[in-house]
Amino acid sequence: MSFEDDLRAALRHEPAPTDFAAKVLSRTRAGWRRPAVWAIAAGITLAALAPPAVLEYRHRREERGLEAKRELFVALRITRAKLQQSRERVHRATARHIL
Amino acid sequence: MKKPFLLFAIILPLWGQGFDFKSLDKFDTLTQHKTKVTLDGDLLKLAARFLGGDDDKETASIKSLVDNLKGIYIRSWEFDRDGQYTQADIEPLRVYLDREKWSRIVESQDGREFSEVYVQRLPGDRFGGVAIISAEPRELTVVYISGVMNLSDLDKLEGNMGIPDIDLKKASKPPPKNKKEDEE
Repeated sequence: MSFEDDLRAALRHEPAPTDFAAKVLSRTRAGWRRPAVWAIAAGITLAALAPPAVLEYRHRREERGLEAKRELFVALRITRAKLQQSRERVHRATARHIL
Repeated sequence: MKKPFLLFAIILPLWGQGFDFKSLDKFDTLTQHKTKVTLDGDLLKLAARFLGGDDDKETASIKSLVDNLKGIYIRSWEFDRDGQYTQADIEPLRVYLDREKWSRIVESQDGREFSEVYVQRLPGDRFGGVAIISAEPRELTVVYISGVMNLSDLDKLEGNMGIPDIDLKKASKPPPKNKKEDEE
């Protein structure tokens, strides 16, 4: 036999066995049933999603913290003003009483 | 058998709850000039974390005060005309403070203006909080600070503590987000 005949024979079209599709599908499904495959898929998804989510969380927390700090200053400023006002009113009332 | 537990579960969270400041929200519709601050324990802790380094004496002073506080509630309204509120509107707060054994340490009246300062006394020269009711014909302010403090903390509250003087009307608005606009 010549080389061409050998090649032709090797590349000859052969129909797939009748249960070929079922076998492939069953192996694929079996693979997805393995916990390790799910764990790897979950890990990849988490690795892709986690950094932006963490950054967003940190950003929001920082914004909330700065807002809380600003509100704290406003609160302390008002408290100081009102305590001083109370003191002044007492002083005025006391001065009037003495006079 | 389940009913008493259910009732207990509903009542228990309400038991330690302070004054309901929502009862004062009715003034919000009467004016545009209002300042409302609500800082509970978690927010106070968060704010303290953003105060800056501990090496600054004044910052450390504020931090030491804030660390022991449970909540800060400020309600302040400026009205356009007289008679927008009555003494009866403030009475629920007075009743609450009286019921919780707060002592009125200052009561001063100057014409139609008056101030009341309350503290909740605790053993050992400590206080469980300070509350202020300050009223003028066109202004009403309620300050309620809850948390353990001592006499020096009260002095701190009346002192500057390095807090910059700010325009309170502007302070109630959020700061501009676009820095470029400020620079221009």
